Amino acid sequence: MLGSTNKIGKYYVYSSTLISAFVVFLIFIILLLNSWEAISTIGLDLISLSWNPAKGEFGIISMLYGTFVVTFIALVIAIPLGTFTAIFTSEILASKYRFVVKSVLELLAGIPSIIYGLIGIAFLSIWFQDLFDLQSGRTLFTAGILLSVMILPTIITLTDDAFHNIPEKYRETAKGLGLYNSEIIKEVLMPIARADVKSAILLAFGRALGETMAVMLVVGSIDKLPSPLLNWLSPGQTVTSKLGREIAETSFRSVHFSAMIFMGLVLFSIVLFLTVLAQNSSKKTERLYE
Amino acid sequence: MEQHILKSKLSVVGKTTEDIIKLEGLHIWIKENHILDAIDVNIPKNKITCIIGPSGSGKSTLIRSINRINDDVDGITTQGNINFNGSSILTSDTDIASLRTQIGMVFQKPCVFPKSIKENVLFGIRHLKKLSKIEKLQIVEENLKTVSLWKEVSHRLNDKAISLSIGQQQRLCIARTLAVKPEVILLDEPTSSLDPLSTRAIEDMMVKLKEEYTIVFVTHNIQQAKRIADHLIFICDGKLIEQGNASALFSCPQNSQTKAYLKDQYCAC
Repeated sequence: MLGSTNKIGKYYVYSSTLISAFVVFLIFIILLLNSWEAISTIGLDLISLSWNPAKGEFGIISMLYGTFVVTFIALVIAIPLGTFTAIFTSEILASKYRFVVKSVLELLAGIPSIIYGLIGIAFLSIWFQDLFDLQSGRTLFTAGILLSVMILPTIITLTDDAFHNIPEKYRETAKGLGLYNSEIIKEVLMPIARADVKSAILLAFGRALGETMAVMLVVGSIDKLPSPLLNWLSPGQTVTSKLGREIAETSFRSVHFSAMIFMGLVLFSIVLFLTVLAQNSSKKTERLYE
Repeated sequence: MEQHILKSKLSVVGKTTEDIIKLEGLHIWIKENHILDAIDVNIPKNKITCIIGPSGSGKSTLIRSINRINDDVDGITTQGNINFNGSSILTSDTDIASLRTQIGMVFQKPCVFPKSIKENVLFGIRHLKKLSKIEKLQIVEENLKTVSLWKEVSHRLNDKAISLSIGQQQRLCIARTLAVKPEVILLDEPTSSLDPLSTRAIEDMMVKLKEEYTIVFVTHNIQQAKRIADHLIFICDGKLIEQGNASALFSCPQNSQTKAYLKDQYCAC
């Protein structure tokens, strides 16, 4: 009797896992099928600069460029800020305050992204417009800054956990050898926490790539590469903002629609790749402590 | 009469050895709990001082206060004084990190860093001064020989330290502490997670090391204290019950509680 219940339990667990895995696979297939029309009719021209549905031009390069620039700016700001904040909350701040500070920081993660977008439109873009004397404050740079604030809680929370989970004995042993706190953080704790911090960063990377609403509101939505290329204070477009803004205007099954889905496929593949990378990196460097 | 003779004997011992550490009226509270209550003990130089007592009596708290590793414990309050080489170490301007290079510590469970055997030995000393490659090798060899680990690991110094057995890891930890060249070594039940053979190896090592170092050794094993101790401190429930020359204390304890504990490992305090 017990054996059969066990078996049912086992199959239930197995099938749940399979269904979840199958959903990922299914999404990939659907994206591939729906973008097939664009891939077959437009082919390599999808990897070009000009996007003009009226002329049948569907180049996604400027959107990909926008996505990478915005994500890059966000990560460059959020990684150092986030890791140092996490080191502060977990190693320097007295533990009775840690919980309070951490909960407040985690609240940041709970704010809906549309709120961030509204703040971006109402304040951030106006400030940048005045500060840099721009025609419009809605730029790749603005979106990057806004995004950095949005991914900060992910980095802080996971990095803080990574440090906090390191057993006390490593700190005490290092202290017993006469190391200063700064040396302990740098030479004992950092190497042990590295794998987990890396996963935290990759997870934040994924979130930055996929963020739509807030970015769409402040990025400027111009389907062009900035000129010069590194002038990030000019409006641009990301894959997500493009999809969010334009998908409703396309007719189902048209080449236009299919090209949009193709962009989704590219984004999905990048995020998938990052996830696999994150999982492998934590597997290789196992746990260094019991 | 006998007591009188013994006391005079003890005072002679006290006079001939210099005390390197003196604890005066040390109280420690952790939150509401009064862990140590007015502890007055002295630790003679170049001797092995064993701290014994039932579990939960405050042995670890006592030894951990000597190099101020307790400082970061939540809600800890310390009162009283600890003198090391004649000056107080409980002042706010004490450089704790440099104090700990003079008073090293080995913990109950061996804790090796996720690095090679060689890097583990050098881990403390590396932060104190710049070392050439040759100096590094000399330090590694010298200290691993002191803890009789050299023969076992000399051919694989670059292997991960975690690959050693627990007994070897603990000896590695002692070598790492010795490499810093402290004056005093605190050991908090260093053999409690080891097999009898490794335990004996560490005991023999301590007896050799006392020529150069002052050793403070916490143990709950009375037989072990009998084997190695020169000076004995018995605490129970946070209070100092008795301290003095080890052989005198073992043969003729003054206090009835000490007598009971040494006989049955039981203390009614």
